[in-house]
Amino acid sequence: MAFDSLQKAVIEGDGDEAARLVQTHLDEGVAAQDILDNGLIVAMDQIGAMFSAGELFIPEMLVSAEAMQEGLALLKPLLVEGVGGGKGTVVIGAVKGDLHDIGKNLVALMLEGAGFTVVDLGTDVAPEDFVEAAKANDARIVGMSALLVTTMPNMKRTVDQMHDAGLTAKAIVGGAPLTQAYADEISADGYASDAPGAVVLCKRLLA
Amino acid sequence: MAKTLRVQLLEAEDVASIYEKAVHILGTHGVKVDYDEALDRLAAAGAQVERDTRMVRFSRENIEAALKTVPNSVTVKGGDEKHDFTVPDPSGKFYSTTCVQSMRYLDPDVGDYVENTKQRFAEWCQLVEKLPNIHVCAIQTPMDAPPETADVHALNVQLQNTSKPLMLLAYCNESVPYLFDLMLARAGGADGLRKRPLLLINPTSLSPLVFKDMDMAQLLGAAEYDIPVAANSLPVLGATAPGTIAGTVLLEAVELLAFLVMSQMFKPGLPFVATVFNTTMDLGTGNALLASSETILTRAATAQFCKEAFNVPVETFSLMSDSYLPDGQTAAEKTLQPTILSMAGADILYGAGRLGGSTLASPVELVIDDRLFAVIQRTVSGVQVDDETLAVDDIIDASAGGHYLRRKHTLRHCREMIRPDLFVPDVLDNWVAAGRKDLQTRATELYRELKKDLEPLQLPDDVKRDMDNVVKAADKALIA
Repeated sequence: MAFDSLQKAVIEGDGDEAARLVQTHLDEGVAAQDILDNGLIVAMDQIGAMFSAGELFIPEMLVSAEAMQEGLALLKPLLVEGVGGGKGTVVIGAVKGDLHDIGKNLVALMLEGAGFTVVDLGTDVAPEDFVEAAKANDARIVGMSALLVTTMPNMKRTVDQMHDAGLTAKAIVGGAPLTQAYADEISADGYASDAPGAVVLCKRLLA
Repeated sequence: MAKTLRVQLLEAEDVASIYEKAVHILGTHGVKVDYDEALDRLAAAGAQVERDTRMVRFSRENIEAALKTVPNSVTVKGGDEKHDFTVPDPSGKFYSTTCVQSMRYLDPDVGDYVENTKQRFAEWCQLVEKLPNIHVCAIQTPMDAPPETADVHALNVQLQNTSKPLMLLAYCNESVPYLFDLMLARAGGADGLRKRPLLLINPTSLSPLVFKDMDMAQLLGAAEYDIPVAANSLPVLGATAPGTIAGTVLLEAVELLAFLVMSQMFKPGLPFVATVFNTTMDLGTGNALLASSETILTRAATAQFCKEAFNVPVETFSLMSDSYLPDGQTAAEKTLQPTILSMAGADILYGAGRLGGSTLASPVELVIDDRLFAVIQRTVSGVQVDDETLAVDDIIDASAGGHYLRRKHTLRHCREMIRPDLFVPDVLDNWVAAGRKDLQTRATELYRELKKDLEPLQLPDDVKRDMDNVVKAADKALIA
């Protein structure tokens, strides 16, 4: 089944058109999972690649992700095993003391667009709240964001508490002052410098 | 009299338009103030406070009253009165502040980035004490201090190692009382602190339009002890501010005006500096650009606006770079920004010693920036034209083909030219014979020379003991 028009609508950020085409495919009897996997997620993969290649700017990527969400909203009730067919749950939040959420929200949007189930804990999230949410949602990944250098140590505390609690979920970190070296230093399982990179990282960690 | 060079990015009608829109936004939409005590005080002072949403609105009358009581000049005082200065400077001179919160330190002795520590920060403060063109020493982040009390440890280091005025940012609401206890211990009590406030305190908005608990606690503390406030607005163009320069200028104007009004509601007459710290998001990568053209233009326009609309001193991010190395890009960006921003009217230029990003500091770069300030200061100071400087008689007396080296007029003026030691050129052969040293090498040598004489302040033992006890109390109370 060709989803060229649907993919084009998502890439161009036309949410109304994306939703209309999703509904058309459903009316034609196409399986929701097929539309998701081969239409919407393929489009978001292309968007991630275009961003990484410097062809798209963040506002353009956002409007595409929102167009994808409009199509996804029609599919969600029809997906038996939840969004993405069990690609995994990611618990995400800005660490304790940090109220900056732009980057974290972008990552959440892109992860959902890539077929992950995202539990967004918001900002100023205490280590114990990350751990509790990871347990409650059977998360496979815990994503932490920080903009302030002063809140970065709370990433280490969260990673430590995840280890103390015996969680098997992978810990990933990101944010303007972060580096791979810092991620290694605090024993995080991964670091990404941008939202599409976070999607690639999550896919790699769960491969 | 020499006329300091000025650039004017906004026309008078632009300033009036931005001001009216700022008044409109503060009166109709308002700002969010996330601190109960501040809400109580603002309501009592006549602001319209909506408790459930924590939104605060300021009427035109509130705003105009604040603009009447806010001082038009601010005297910044350090531990030693010889370092005091007043902004705006009557002669147009500007002042400088070091960079803030650096976690990493380009150590010349290691040759690489290493963690900032209390020892390295102490050395940094002592170096500031020796540099003639660095006027304010900002807080850094010692990574060997407990994260919960890193700001308390850092302020203790500042207070014990430099007598220049300090720039302080709290790292969390819980540490704010200990920061004030430290200042009180150093100043010998509340009266001493009011007389000599030691620092500029820098509460910061959370753009767009949010004022957090720790920042309001700092503002209230400043009001209690008459400490000058340098209130920061640091929106990111395209991310936490509109994607246009004018829109970001307006957002900064709203946030700074809100800070100004709140400061005057808490304490009429409280000294206030509008601090313009915006950056720009590179919408292709998400990185915050510290030195892009849009960033500089936004800061310059906001600086001009605050000077003309609020008539208060202005501080700006100025010696910033997006390069992670002390290279040509760093030199270009650190020259262009302070030049433009000083000409836009900034009174305090922030960022000496900073390298790319928000976490890197370099003591060698600090030495270079110190000398660079002298060059820029002189360059923007303009040209003095009068009978003495025109030297009409000397031009006639020397006649055609003569020279001026033996003229008394030249003798009178021969030491007026600045000769920043890092930049004075030598003839090529001498430079080659001396080892072909580039700026970095020369600056590193100067740093090492200065380092030989660094030492902490000689404070009375009881003062140091009291300060150390405050740090211990903070550690005991705040470390989980």
